[in-house]
Parts: sequence; structure tokens; C-alpha cells
Amino acid sequence: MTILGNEPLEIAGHSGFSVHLRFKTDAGLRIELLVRGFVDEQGFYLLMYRAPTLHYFARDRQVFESVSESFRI
Amino acid sequence: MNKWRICGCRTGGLHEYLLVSVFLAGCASGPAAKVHYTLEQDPASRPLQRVVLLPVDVDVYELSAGGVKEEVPEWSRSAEANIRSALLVSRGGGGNCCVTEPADISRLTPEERELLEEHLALFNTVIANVLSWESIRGTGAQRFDYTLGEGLAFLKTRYGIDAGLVILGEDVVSTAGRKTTALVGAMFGVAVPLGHSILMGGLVDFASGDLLWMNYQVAAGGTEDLRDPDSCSTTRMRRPSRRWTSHPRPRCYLRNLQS
Repeated sequence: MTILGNEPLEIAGHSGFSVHLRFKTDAGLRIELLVRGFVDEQGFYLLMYRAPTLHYFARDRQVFESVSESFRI
Repeated sequence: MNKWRICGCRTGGLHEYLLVSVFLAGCASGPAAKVHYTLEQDPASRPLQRVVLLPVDVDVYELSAGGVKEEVPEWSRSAEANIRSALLVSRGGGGNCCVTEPADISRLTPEERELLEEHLALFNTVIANVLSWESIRGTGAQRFDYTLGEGLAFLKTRYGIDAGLVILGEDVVSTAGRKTTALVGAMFGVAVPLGHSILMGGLVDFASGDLLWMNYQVAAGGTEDLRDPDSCSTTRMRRPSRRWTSHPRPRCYLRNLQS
């Protein structure tokens, strides 16, 4: 597994994290993940986007970005 | 377990997610064949001239009396050879098949082989999603516009290959002990599952990556045997073959490819 990015990020007004990972399945398919999360008094929130690197990850990443940016509690 | 041998390594046949998806989709009513929406609108929109058969990937397992499933590599190789032969020689028999050329993987560079291998793994994942979505929404509820992306366009530009037929499958053969267990179980009202056979095919347009057509065949209870070349070339293998080409659009499409 490769860590492509790991940085702090503000989500819904809370201090959180953003991690970008890539790994390869047994079948040889590269998969990328964007994991974003934060903690508040209510609990631990995690937003995750996972797609094959080939074609799909880049194609739909903007949708995840929109969801992440518009996320509110 | 991995089966693609295009670069001396094995990258996986029907993974469990796909297997479950096939069975779920098998429960859904409606035709199994799917055709890309652009072909539904205009069957002549993809004038393909050269279509190759990509490496066939079929795993054949032996199912023991206790339910342990173990792959038998020799049977897998035999089944793959049978299916390859049945597909490549069937041209002219019923006029339904146009794929007469196996892919010559040795011409590809190592990087190209790896890229092809990864796209075949992506095909596996995409098909699993097609079937699981179908099992949820029902057949016909979706516009069939799945794609693998443009990563295989080099096969078109550099090698002049327009499209590739991908065949995946799994055959589970019950031992005599397993059949006896099933028989005894039935006497006491206990259902003991026997083997099953699954074949799945898809046609990929290399220029666009679009999945032009796909179909699958599921046979439960060990009624099919892909190790048997006669059954592959005559009756049993022709059943899925006919079914694959029974949809009006693919049949028309395949006829166009032959010309």
C-alpha cells in the first residue's frame, strides 16, 4: 500500500484528516482510496471514496469532493 | 488463486464478489445479454474489423464429500482449451461467431502486458458491479454504458485490434462422495449443494474501452462439464453460445463483424 497524501483538513467546521491511499488487489488491479474523518462530541465521522485507479477514480473524484465539502452535521 | 498467464503470473479468475453477483443476478428475471446503449440505438455505430479472443480464464474445482473446494489446475487448463477451441472453430457452423483469432500476447511489451492484465482485472470488477446492480434494480433498469476507460487504446493504434472477447468461468465438479452425500441428505430432507458451472463473456472495444456486449450462463447441480471437449463443441457449450448470440443486436453485430 502506498500513501499518496496525508494532511490535516477542515471538515464541517471540525479539524480532521485526509488520507489518500493506493493499493493493488491480488488480481493486479490498482485501487485508490480517499479517507477523510474527524471527531466531535457525538462520535467519529469517516467519509471514504474508493475506486479503481484505471478510469474510475479520477472520473468520479469530484463528486466525492463535493460531498466532502458540503458535509454538515 | 490467479489464472491470467499473459506475463507469466496469475491474476485471478472469478473472485468471490463476482461469484455472488452472478448468483444474485441469476435470480433476476429477464435476458442476461447486455448491449451497449450506442449499439441499441445504432447497431452499425461500431464498425469493428478485427476481434481477438483474450486469454480464457476458467477455474475448475473438485468438490469433496465434506464440501471442500480445491482447484485442479489440469482440469482448468483442459476447460480453457475446450472453450477456446469451441469459440475459435465455431465460425461458419451456425454463422454466429466471428472471433477466430486468439490474442498473441507475446507481441506485447512487458508494460503493455501488465496494462492488459490490469484491465482484465478491472473487467472482472465492472462485471461484478453490473450484475450486483442488476440484482438490486432488475434487468433493463439501467442504461448499459459500462467502460474500462481508454487505457487499452494502444491495442487499436499500435496493433490494429479493434476489440477483444473476454471469457471468465468457474466449474465445480462434485466427487462421487459428494453426490452420495447429497443423495443421502435428500433422503433425510437435508439439501446438500452439488457443483455449478458459470461462464461469462464480454466484448470490449479497445478504442473507447466500452463494454459493447456481455452475457453469462449459470448451471447449478453439476449438469455441465467444461472438461469434456465434446460437450463444449457440440451440445452443452453451444447452449450458452446460442444464448449469447440470441439477442437481436449482438447477432446483428456479430454478423457485421464477420463481413
